[in-house]
Amino acid sequence: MEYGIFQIIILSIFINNFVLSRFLGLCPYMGVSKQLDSAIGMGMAVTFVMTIASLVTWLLYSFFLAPTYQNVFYTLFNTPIESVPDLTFLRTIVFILVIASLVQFIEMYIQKISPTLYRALGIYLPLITTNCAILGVAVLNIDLFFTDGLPKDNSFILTLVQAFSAGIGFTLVLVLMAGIREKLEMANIPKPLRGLPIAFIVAGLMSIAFLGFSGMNIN
Amino acid sequence: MNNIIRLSIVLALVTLVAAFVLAEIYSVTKPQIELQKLAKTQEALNIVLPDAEQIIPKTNKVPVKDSEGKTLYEKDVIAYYTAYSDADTTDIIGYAFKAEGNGYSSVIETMVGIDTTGLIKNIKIVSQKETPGLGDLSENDEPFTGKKWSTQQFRDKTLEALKVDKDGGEIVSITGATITSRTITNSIRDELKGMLTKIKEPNKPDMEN
Amino acid sequence: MSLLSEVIKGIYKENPVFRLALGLCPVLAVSTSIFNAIGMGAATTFVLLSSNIIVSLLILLFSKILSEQGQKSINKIRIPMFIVVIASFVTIVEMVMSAYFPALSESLGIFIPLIVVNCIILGRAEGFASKNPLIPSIADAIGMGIGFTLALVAIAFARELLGSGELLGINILGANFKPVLLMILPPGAFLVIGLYLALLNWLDLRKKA
Repeated sequence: MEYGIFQIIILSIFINNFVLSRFLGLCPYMGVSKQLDSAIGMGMAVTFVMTIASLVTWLLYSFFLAPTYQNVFYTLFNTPIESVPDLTFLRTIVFILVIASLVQFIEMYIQKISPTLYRALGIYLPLITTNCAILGVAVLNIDLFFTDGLPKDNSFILTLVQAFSAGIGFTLVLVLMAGIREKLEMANIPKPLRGLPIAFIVAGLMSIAFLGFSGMNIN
Repeated sequence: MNNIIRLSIVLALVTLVAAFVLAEIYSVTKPQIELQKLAKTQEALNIVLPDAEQIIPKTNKVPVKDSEGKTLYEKDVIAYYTAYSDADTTDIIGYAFKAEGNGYSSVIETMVGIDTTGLIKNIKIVSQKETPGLGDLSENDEPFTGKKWSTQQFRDKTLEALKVDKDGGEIVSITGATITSRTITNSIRDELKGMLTKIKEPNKPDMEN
Repeated sequence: MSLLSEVIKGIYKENPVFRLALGLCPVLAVSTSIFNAIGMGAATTFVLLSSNIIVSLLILLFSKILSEQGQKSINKIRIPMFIVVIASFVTIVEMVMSAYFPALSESLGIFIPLIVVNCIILGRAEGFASKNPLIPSIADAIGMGIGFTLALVAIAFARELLGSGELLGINILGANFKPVLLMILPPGAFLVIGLYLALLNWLDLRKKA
């Protein structure tokens, strides 16, 4: 299967949905999906952070960590390409620090330029740092779009597309879940199942529904 | 402002110490990781070319280009492996090559062994990170019964037959892992096509990698 | 609290997965087989233990060498420092696993680096280790680690047994058992954990009655 832009979009939103199939982003999914407006807000915040984080981490990886031909050691200091230091082992530390700082900056920025937006989204932002979906998509970008430390064709564009689509997919299932849970509030659920248990079972049923996409041929 | 600078320095120091410790550990584990990769390739070669006495890789020089198409340097890439029945490398008994494709959730690498006429002798999945219990059943190499996927079903298949049943071919796909099955089958077929032209004219220099 | 009760609380009363709803992502993803569950549990416990130790020691160090004001400013960057410590140990796990346990490393995939965002680890570092001396922090980490591993194994037990008829790769239910494939797929994970949580709720309600 060729990884083109269209394939990545369909994969990230439906076939390999980040929540229901890759199990990324579950904490906010369970915690914030009780009401529709908070679901939409969280979804948008996550999509935004995911895209920016993936962009920054891709750049850092290409320019500083991996022995690519864009690596600064090669372009600025003219070290021969075979001796460019392989710093890929710093990936986890660099990525998580970047994500944590990004979230801080975004939170400060939103607070300054739009207090109303901050009131709507602001509380979710600190939760996003430990959202495994953000780090997950950043790491996935590297795993899928780099071989042996070198970027594949269109690596940058595909990374951005994957990050954005992953966010859209996350928002989609979050909103669906919120809609269902709002209705469930009025249903007569047996006591042991109330709260998290029924939420997980609903997620399981949604996951079965999304499994249907795995038969799609998107070549 | 002063405080922020001081705090940043402290944080940077902590990070530097961490990075240094990690670099030390990396220098120990990296050779081991490379060894693992080589061992894995060797194991795959032994499985797909069991009668070979000597297996020699054929490397090509592949130019690595920058975004403007200018060649930066040339990399050695293994194109395929030639198997000989004797240590003197006079008698070719087959070839092996790697097929690679984008699966459901990972890049799947398969080692394929063929005889001198181009007929598949055996395959071995070298690396995959597909769904546990589904896509990763692709590694199943039990004798093929006709009902369940097995790597054994690729033996003696012709190019025409190398498609999954859903696409009109003879390969029985894994239930619930269509993408994985399709990726493996199609990647093998594509590489085999290229290999067949190469072995028919073994002395012709490779025009492409 | 005695040391033993520190350890035990992590197993049942304050089980990180079933009671505190922390660390859900790896739990659902990695619980497809007991082998993976134990591997992930061990890796997470290692990181939890190491980071609790270092965090507890670091805070102790800072309280000894810094003034009251110095400690207050360090307090501002404590979370990034904890993150660096945790990320370093996760990187160590990543490297050691790919070098010496490649099969496990491949099964656990991206969830190894994702240990760094496992809310349990930062949660315990910030909530316990930074406020308690070394020995209780160790006990806390061990308890939480065991609790996490047990939760993982409990879910993996149900999924592996029903989804493939096996336990730890050994066929238990016999050849006539048709595996419930759904259990190994994502929906199975959600359903199993939902039912376990319901079971625990039911037990709690009975106790109250």
